[in-house]
Order: sequence, then structure tokens, then C-alpha cells
Amino acid sequence: MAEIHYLGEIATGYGFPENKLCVRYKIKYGAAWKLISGNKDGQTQTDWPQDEDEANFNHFMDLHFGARGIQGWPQIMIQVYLVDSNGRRVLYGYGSSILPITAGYEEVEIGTWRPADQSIRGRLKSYLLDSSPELAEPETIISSATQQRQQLAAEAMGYVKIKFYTVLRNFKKYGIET
Amino acid sequence: MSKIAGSSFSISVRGHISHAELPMLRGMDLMCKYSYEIGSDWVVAAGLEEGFSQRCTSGTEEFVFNLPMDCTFKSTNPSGWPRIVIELIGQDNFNQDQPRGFCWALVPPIPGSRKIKTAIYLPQASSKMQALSHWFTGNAVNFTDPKIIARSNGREMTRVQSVGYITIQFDVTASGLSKFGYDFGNNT
Repeated sequence: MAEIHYLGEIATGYGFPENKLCVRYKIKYGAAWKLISGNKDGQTQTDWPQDEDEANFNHFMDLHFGARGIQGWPQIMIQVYLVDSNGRRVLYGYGSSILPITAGYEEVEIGTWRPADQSIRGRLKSYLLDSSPELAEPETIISSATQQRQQLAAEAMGYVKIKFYTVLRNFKKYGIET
Repeated sequence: MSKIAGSSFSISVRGHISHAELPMLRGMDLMCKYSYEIGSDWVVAAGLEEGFSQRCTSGTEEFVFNLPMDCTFKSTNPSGWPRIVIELIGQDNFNQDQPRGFCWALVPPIPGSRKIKTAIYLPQASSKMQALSHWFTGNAVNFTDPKIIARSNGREMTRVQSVGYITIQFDVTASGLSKFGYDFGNNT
């Protein structure tokens, strides 16, 4: 069985209207893959940076996969939240990325978006409360190019940077090239 | 040491913690303390598991530690790869030690030299009552065990404030990796 280790961290979030952020993540993978060890989902700390625009999450990721096929390569789906001084958590963005496929160091920068209500009421709400409509079932929409995306109006939000070191094992033995 | 049966690979971590930049602590003093967090398949084979720096006073926002690291680990599994956990400690007006910042950094799994700059943060009080009590006693909020920041579990309850950056130079050598069939990629 070919194996992959992903060692890294969900590092920073930047480019959002406010910088008081936390990130929830979930790893999605196909039937040919098995998560041998590591957390399939989780949530980072919340950072309220003092001076900078960048919020730091410094969240350790340690995933060990076993693979019997290339289909269904693992993806990470993220949801960024604004955590304001009243303790409210407001959805600030959805995003996803495939996990790195080459051995070595890679910085994955995920651009995030969130649904936008373009009506007057929606825009007023967004301006006053920072909030937006949320997806009822985010997972299928975030991680694939489904038809449902055509029906969405969305606004661009900031970026989340994830730093990965990828370690491959037995890939050459099974003839997989990356 | 006896739990590593059979052959294992070993990672030797050298390098140093170079300096920290904390704008709010200009003119004060700062000391750096580090330790390692490792997974259950790892053991420390040789070297220093912890380090303490000198007390550094700086007129600018840059505090130079130049604190060497020297530790060798042995394992059979890349999961649980060593992370260095850093604690910055300073003295307040009453000469009491107060935490001034925390962070962790992953020892680069690619053998070679690498300079890392990572953010430092301080935990914040979780309720207004706790914040008031800390303000009253003059003690900064602290983690009960700094190593928890380097684990993936239980981080969602923490609220922090980023206060600066720290620069670390890692020089990592490894032996026995190819015997296990691992491909770590190139150091580019």
C-alpha cells in the first residue's frame, strides 16, 4: 500500500475585512484511501492580532494516509469564521484545496468566498452585521464544481495559508508518478 | 529507548533560535525557553530536550537569543514529527516572570538548512471575570502546559493575540530514511 504523510500547519489568514478569525477544517477523501492516523476535522485557535492584518492559527496537522488508488485524492475543506468581541461567530468564507501531490514543502494558499445576498436588505445586513447567508450543506459545493454553483451569488473574501511537508512512501514501487 | 524495536531512522536537529521581534516590548527584557513535542512513536536519542536562553534586553523591538538547538530523535514513523515549542518570558515591574509569547514550529522534515519565521502569540482570558482577575493581580494569562499548542486537539477553546515574530534557523540531518522507502522531497 502506498502511504503519504502530511506534516504541517494551518498557518495564517489574511485579506479579510476584519482580522479576528478562526478556521474549521475537514478532510475529504475517496474510497481507495484510508486515514491511518490524524484528525479528520478540527478547529483552530482564534486570533485577535495586535497590529497586523494577518491572523495566526499555528495549528498542527499530522495526517497519515494509506492509498490503494489515485482516485479520490484527499482534499481539505475550510470554513473561516469571524469571532467578534461579543463572542458571535460569523461565517467569513468557504474554501477548499487538494492536498499536495509532490514530496517536499509546499505553501497552499486557499482563496475563500461566501454567499452574497445582493438585495438591499441583504447588503444592509452585511454592512451592519458583517453576516451573510450560509450554505445549508456546504461540503458538496465547497469541494467540487457542481451544477449548484451556477445558482450562487458569492463575494470574495480573504486567504488562508496552509504549509505542508509531504512525505511519500512506496510510490515508485506501485508505479505512481507525481 | 527500548520501545523502538528493530531498525529506526534518526533525525538530528541542530541550528539556533535567532531572534524575536516584539514591538510592544521595546526596552524591556526577554528570555527564551524551548522544548520539543513528539508523537508516541518517537524517542529522544541524544542531546538536549530543553533549552534556556540568556536574558536579553533590547532598546529596539528586536531581541537576539542566538540559542543553539542540539537534539537527536529516533522513530519508525513520520507521524508525530518533532515540533519545537517556544516560550518567551519577561519580567514585569515587580520582577515577577510573566509569559510574553508562545509558538511552536515543525522541525523541517526535509534534511538540510531552513530559516523559519513564525508568529508569536499570547493567550487571552476566556471570560471577563478572568480578565479582571488577571488585571488585578498583574499576572498575564498563561497556558497550563505550553506543549498543548503543538497538538491538533483542543485548540478551538483558545483565544490568542499575535504579538510579534520569531526567527529560527534549522539544520536537520537524517539517517536511515531511504531504508524505510520514504521520499521527503528536495530542500528547495
